[in-house]
Amino acid sequence: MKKPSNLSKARAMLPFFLILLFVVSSTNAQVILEKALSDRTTSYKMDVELDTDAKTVSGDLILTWTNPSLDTVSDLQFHMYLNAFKNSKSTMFNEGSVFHRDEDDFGFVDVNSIHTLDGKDLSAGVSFIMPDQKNHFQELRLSEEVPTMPDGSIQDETVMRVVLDEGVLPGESIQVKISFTSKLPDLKKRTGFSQNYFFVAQWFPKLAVYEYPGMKSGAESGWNCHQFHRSSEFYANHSLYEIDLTLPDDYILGSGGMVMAEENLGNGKKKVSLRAEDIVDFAWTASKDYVVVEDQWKHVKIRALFQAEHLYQAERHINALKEALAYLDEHVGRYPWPHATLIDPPTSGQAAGGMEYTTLFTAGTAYGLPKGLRMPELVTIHEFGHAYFMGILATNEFDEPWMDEGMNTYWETRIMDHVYGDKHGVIDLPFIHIGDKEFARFTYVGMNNPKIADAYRPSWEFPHGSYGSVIYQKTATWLNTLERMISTETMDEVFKTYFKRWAFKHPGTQDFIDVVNEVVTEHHGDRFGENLDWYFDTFLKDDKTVDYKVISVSSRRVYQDAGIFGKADSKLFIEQESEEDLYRSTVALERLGEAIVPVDILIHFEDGTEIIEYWNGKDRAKDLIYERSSRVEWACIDPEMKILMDTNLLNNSVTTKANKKPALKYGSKFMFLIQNLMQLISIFS
Amino acid sequence: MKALKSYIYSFSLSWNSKKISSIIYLAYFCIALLLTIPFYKLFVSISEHSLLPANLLQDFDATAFGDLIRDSGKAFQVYFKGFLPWVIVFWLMGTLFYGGIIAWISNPNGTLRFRLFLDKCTQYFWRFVRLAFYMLVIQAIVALLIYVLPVIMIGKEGVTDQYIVRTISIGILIHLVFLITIRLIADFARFGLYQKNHHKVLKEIWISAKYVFRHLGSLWMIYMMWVIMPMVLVVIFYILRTTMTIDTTVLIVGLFVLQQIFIWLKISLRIQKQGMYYKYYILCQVED
Repeated sequence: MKKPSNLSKARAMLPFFLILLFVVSSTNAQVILEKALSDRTTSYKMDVELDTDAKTVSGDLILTWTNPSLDTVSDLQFHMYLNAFKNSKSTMFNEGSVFHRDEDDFGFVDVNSIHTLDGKDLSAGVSFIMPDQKNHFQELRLSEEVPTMPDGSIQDETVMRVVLDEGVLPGESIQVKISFTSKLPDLKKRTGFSQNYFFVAQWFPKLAVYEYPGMKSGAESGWNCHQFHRSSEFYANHSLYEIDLTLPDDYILGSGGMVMAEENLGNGKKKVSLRAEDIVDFAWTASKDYVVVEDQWKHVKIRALFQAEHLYQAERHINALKEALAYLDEHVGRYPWPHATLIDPPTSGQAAGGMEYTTLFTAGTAYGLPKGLRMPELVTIHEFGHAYFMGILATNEFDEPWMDEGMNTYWETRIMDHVYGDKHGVIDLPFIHIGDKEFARFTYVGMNNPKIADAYRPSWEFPHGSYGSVIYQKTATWLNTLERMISTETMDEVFKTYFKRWAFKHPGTQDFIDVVNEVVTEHHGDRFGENLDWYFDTFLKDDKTVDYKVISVSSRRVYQDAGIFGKADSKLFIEQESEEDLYRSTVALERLGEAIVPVDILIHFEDGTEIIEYWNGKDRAKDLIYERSSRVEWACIDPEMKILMDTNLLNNSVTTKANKKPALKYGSKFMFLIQNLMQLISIFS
Repeated sequence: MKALKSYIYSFSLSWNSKKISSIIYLAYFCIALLLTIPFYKLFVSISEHSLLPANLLQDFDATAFGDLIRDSGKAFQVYFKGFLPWVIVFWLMGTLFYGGIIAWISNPNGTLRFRLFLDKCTQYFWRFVRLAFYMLVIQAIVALLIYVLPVIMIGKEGVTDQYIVRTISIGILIHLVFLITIRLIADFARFGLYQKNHHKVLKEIWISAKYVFRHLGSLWMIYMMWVIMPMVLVVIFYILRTTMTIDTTVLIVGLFVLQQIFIWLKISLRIQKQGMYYKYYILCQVED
């Protein structure tokens, strides 16, 4: 009973606090954007220096946080991501293999001092906690609920808690000054250095998100702060970043912010003032070897930092980025920032590739890739797309990874196939081509066990490395299926509404489902039932698979009644005679999968007539029976191939007239292959 | 001059070797057919009553192909797992025919009798198998030496993918040169073994290697002249394949005929090459 009252109280007070937050945020003068896009509950002001020899970034950070809730918050929680690389006891190392050897390879972030801006020392209240309470392997090895090191210290140090002397009241702000040193790890995963190349992400003590009732569906009061897991990504407030960064003057800098000023310090160093507004993550990179390419798409200035050897692919990357900007702008919403930075990491820094930081993202390519292999385009479109889901909508990638990676992969498949051709999006070579939607489905249905996990779970709880296939490809496939069911126009309307309503507000799963239900009902009434909750229950929250099968198609001549009729002397024998040109055809259907989806069935008769039947798909078996002058020639479930989630499309149809042509064609190809192989092997004879 | 003479001669030899080309082609055809029939039957059983595989007729269709392979994955797996022994059979077959081919090219004006062809194939079979095995070992050592450096470099920090791709490309090019040269050595070693009719394979490899390196320029020149034809053939086939849509039974049969002509021509070119080298070998002996 307590929760509803809190919730309603919170909702009643929310407008007041939003106005308050707006007032607070509006005090941060607008430089890049015309107006603040988010409530900017956090802002970071930093003065840091990159030491290229020591591989450190150190300096001071002033954090301003405004309590957006109705709670008095008595502690602060920070992500200390770099500590995932500190030692083999971290959650990340425990969930994967330890891939660092030398002392210089490890990384960490040390808090040298922490106090409020008015001078109160907070260091006494600092501790490390493990909110997720377990490392997979530690759970097996140790019996303690919270595993500890022999000296009593906690093992994973990626979440830092700072207990405050005085709680932060609702709507009140706190300013904390942190002096920190970040030792960058050898670049083996996302962040760090590789010789003189630096990709600096997740590099400073970063405040977690304080969630509260009314913020999004199902939110409860408290910090949402998770350890840095091997397969998890991030969740953060939209923030204002003002960073003064000192680095050697011969390094080329790329960042998620805009350069406000640059000063040569005269001692071989330069100080660059950067600013970013309303982004959830601030990453930057520095290298002597970048080649800068600049371009423009409408209001967006594109800055791309390439490796010299990949410069010849610059057009491929930039065109892909422009296509993504245009497509998402038309079908989802406007990209609000006037800048986007594309980073092409060097070969030795590929571990930083294919990652997103809102206004900055890293590409992924290789020298010599033919144009028909669209890896550069795919990675660019995918990583840029995150600006919408991870960046603008800013969903929680720890707890609900499908909302970012899954939705983003869905849009990636749409853009790739739209721009580069349906069924040609990813691979487009002379004898083989694969579309991105096909590729996503292929990866999902091709899993050893497509039922291994539902997609509605925290990112670190996917068994046997199934995170990628379930979160990326399965989600993209069921969203593509949904699109085909409700129409592309309705799907676009869903995303436009979702974007408009939830941009910069951290929506949750139910918020998206609510939008789907609202828009689909508006467009299609109750055609798909009272709502589409069943769809999400089936494909998002459950691991059920779809497989409908046409078991058989059979026809037989219809006969008149025959046999002996009547009693005693009045018995009458009627000879069996067939009805002229009347056939009874039976189409036998079965549901092999556990998931239930309504499907259309196309029945084709020998005289060319066709009937479309609707099946709610609930029963395990169904027979369709027809008495007509023509026999059924073939039957096909889901003839428009809407249900991409169907794990076997081969058994969706049965035809009475055997078609041996595909076998003949591929048999001849196979034979030719064998003959050529024989010739090839004879080279070694 | 000898090189040019040999090259010109090889065309008439090739024309006169239609029968031997056809015999070898038929042997390969039968083996390939033996392997294709179960594949075809398997494919038919999976696909003939479904509408989806028809998508594969117009063009390649990843969805249809993927679901087809997955639906019958285990059946295909069993089929492909037993493939290694066949590779060995192909290798032995390639070796077997050399005896017959050399017998023919050494006396192209004689009448080819199938029995004689077969006798020569079997007569030299084991020594040619030994030769092929030694050459295979040499090929492996050469490949190891060529690729070991790029592989080491890949692990080094600061190496760019451009450097790796270029190094491997150069490696492949060098390997190709060695591959052709080693094959030349093998070809001339076979001629030596045939002519002298002895079993000292290693000794013949050594003699052949010296011979090949002595005549390297000329041999490479005639090889380069010869290689134009197979390359033209491949390009023609590629153009035909990429411009044709094979979706009717007539076209499928047409494609099959085209494929078989291509294979027959490849075999014919192989004999032409052997004849060209043999002619050069003989011309050198006459000169000596």
